Amino acid sequence: MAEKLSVETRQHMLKKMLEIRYCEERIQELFLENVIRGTTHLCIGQEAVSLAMAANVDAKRGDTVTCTYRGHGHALALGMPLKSMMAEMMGKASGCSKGKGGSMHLTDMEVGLIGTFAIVGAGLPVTNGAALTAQIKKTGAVSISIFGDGTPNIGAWHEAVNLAAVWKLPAVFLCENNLYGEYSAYGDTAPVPNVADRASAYNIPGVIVDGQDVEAVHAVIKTAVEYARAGNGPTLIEAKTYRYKGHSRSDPAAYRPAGELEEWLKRDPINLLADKMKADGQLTDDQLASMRKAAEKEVQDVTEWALAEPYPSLESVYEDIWV
Amino acid sequence: MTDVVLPNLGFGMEEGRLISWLKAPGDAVRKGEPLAEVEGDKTTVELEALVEGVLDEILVMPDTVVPVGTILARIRGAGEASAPKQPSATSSAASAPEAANKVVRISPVAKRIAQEHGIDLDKLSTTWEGREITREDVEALVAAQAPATNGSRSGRALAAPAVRKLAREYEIDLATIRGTGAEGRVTRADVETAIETPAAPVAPVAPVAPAAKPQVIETPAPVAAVPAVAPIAAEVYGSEREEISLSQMRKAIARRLTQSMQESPHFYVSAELDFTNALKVLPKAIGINNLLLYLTVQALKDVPALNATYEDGHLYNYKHINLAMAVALPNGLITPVLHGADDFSPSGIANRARELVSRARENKLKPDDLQGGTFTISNLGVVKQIDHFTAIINPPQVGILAIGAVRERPVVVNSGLHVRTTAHLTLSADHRIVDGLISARFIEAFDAHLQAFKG
Amino acid sequence: MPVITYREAVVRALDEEMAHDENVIFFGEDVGKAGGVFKVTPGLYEKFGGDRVRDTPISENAIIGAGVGAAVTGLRPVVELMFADFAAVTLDQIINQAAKFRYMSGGQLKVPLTIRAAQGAGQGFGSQHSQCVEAWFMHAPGLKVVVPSTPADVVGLLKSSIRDDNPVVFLEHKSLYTEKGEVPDGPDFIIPLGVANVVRKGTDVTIVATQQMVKVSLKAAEELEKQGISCEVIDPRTLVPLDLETIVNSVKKTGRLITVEEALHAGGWGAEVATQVTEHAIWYLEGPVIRVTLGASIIPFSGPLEAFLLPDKDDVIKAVHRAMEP
Repeated sequence: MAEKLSVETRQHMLKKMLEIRYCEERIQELFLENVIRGTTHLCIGQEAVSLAMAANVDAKRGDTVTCTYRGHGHALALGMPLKSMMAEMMGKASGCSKGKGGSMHLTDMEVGLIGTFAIVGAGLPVTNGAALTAQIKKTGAVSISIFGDGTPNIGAWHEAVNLAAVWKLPAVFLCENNLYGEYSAYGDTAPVPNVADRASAYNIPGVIVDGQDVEAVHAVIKTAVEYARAGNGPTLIEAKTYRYKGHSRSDPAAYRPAGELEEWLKRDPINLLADKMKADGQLTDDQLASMRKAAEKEVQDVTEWALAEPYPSLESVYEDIWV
Repeated sequence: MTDVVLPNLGFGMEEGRLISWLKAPGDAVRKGEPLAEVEGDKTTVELEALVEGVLDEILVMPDTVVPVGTILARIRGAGEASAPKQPSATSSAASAPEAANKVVRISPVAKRIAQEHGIDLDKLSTTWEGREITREDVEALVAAQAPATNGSRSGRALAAPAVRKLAREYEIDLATIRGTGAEGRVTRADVETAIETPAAPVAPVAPVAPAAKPQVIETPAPVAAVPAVAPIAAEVYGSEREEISLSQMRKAIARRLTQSMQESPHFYVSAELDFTNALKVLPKAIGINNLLLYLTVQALKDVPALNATYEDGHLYNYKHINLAMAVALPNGLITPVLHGADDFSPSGIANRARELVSRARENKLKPDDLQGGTFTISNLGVVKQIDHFTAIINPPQVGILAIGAVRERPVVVNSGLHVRTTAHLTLSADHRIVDGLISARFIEAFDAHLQAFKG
Repeated sequence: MPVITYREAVVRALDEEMAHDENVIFFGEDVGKAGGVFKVTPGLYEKFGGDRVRDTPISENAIIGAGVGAAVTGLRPVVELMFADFAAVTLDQIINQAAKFRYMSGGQLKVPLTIRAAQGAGQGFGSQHSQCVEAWFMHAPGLKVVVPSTPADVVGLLKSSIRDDNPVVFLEHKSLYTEKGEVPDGPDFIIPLGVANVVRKGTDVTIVATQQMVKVSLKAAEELEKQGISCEVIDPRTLVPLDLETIVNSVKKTGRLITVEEALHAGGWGAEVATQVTEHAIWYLEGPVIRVTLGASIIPFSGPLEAFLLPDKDDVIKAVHRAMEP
């Protein structure tokens, strides 16, 4: 059993997880209503990893994060304002990237988020660079790269983990293994049972953790961050989790075996944390219900606001290309 | 005798109304001169004489409706028999001299070929009057034109873009130039030659009755006036003249200056300025003319509103001063440009201006030398009698400075009469853009720099 | 003025910039202890230490990615790709990440990264170690592309590239490493990006050439001078940003344009320059715009084939004659 977090931390995590959940569901609806264009990748079911990661990041110290296009949850958990994100989803001028990034390209350096990368594996090499800055400038900062279970199969992943291990960079490689790389089951595309098994190839620690238990994930990331800051190099963490939705907007996830989703729903990360808090006398059903309502309302209010926001000026299409 | 017939003024026209005669029997007529007013289905047009001669008889009275092709009158003329019948090899079909009747029918193939070769269908001659124009007819015409459009399979002359631009500036149709370059391309030299060559006269100039002219002058006045003779004599005196073919350069000048006067409301300010002190310190190497250029540039720096162009409703102000100088050439006027004149010292201006003028006189200016002027100066001081004159703005610029002779004149200074060296400056400005005070400030600034000039 | 080689120019620029700004770091394959495969970076490791001068594994994605990440977090990295051909292994990091970061982040990020690589043919390195790759990067807005041809340009432009807040692809030509040239002394010598060098003044035809082809064009110009044809030779030095003004003004003067490049005919920088000139100066053109290129071939290994493929003086002269045809 992982160490219990403080009640304030738990409350914050619960609140944020609810916000992420409602936000993702609202985004799904907005896609179906054709308000949001393109595609999106939802993290419903994986919220615990986002909160556990964010609780270990200190942007003021210089900690940085790269993650994948399934990054809405990470951005919100790190503290990106909901307004920034929702406006960006809709391509509005007030989005975090002035509407030029969209769902797959969220950046907010205020909270340490370098970017949510739309190319599989591209974030890890960049995380190394941020870790290199910390190492050379001796800031004590760490850089965390979050990726999915499909990523270790791409060359850049290997190059990056190898380099970080060789240079002992203050980096943490955090895999969200949600069992599917796009539409393919993990086991169909990887020769080792666990992503963490690959750590031995680089002579770095490899840790597997229950990705639905926010406190458990928090504990292993905390250890990895301390290990990195002490100059020992990177850790490979594999959080076993599950995405309730398909890979992207157009994927109904028909490839999942019957009953799989239902089994995972029993271990919903929000419910797990809420149950623990209730058991510890920190939360009542009424409080939880009103937290849900508040989160839903906030998401709805921000959505209305974002819908009314203006699009970027057309001239801005040629701005921010070169410094 | 040449018949004057009612032409077809448009598709489907079958008849027309003769409104009035503009000439009377016995009147001398020149080719192209209006003979009568005729009304077609939709338009009223002047019917022009196609040959020169004397209006012999009128066959249709005013306000009469007649079928197309009806003979309206007859012209008796001396040159009638020698009028050319075939399309000229060096001019387009447009100049075919007998386009009395517009063509009514043309076969589709012939039409296509004619269009491909840029032959104006409306201007096809009536060589084939009375029958449909066929492919053979058009091909014969194309063959006759071939030397002029050398090198072009499509009927388009071949030329480099810069050469095309030059030709356009002088309103020269490349198709009328025989290309001497590889594959029949029209070269820059070909176009320059065409610019130098006076345009081929469109209408050959001939007095009404050349053979009779001397005799008429020497003939004593007849005792009894013969009606047919008197008007001819008057006509002969009145038409004793020679048409000078305009060079393309002259045509361009005519067009631009007319445009300028029509489009820009000119207004003028003038002043007599005292050059005495400046001339005392003026280095010989610079000279008065270049001093004037230099002072103009300095004044423009102080009054930048005049360093501008006005193009299609858009006003542009320029960071640098590109001073155009009017230079008289034997065949016209040219305005080479001193680019970036604001960067030059008096001697720098002098050197550059001398070089430009000498190249202008040797006809060695490059296209760039004539482009981009932002203000013009015109100096007629070479003729000592000229006190002042006004110049026409060189569009799209908004101002031009005209300067008369710099010479000694009586001037009142401090209530005393003195002999000073002065010149009159007249600034023409485009009132759409420039107001009076700005012009006055320009003269003021010019004078300030003139009085402060230290060599 | 001291005379140094193109190779020495690289190390001088790196040395000066690393001394000038402690945020400048340098890494790549064998660049540290070994001093570089092309021997262009000796002494830096010894002088600045293993923290700032690093050898990397053979991992182009990791190298560029680390450069990008370090650049967005406050360093000013210079990374070496060794042979420019290897950029193909890491185009994602260069084109999708480095070039687009600023744009996709709505201007939050800047990527002051310099990517050095050696390109070009003439030494029998074969198809995968000889190509000129500048055109790949001209198609990625956000990058700057530099192609120096002299030791002075290497020093002045590499320093500018390192100081630039944008990602810069700095392509050295490996056949020029032994070229000698005068370079102004002192750490303040710098050449701004985007300023072409008019290498030779002329009035009849404008020749735009880069790297090895500048020399080739100058030789052609000398011979053409004897024939009474005056060539203006312009080395743009940087392709992004391109000093179009200098080129267009020259063409407005001469009325003729030849581009000479050691790259493919289709889609090369010559095609871009030719198009830009026709867009901006079509009415000044007195003849056809002609590109002298490699045609559509791949760089071969065999000596005679490679030599045949590379544009030479006679190719340039032929092109000028064609352009001068009345």
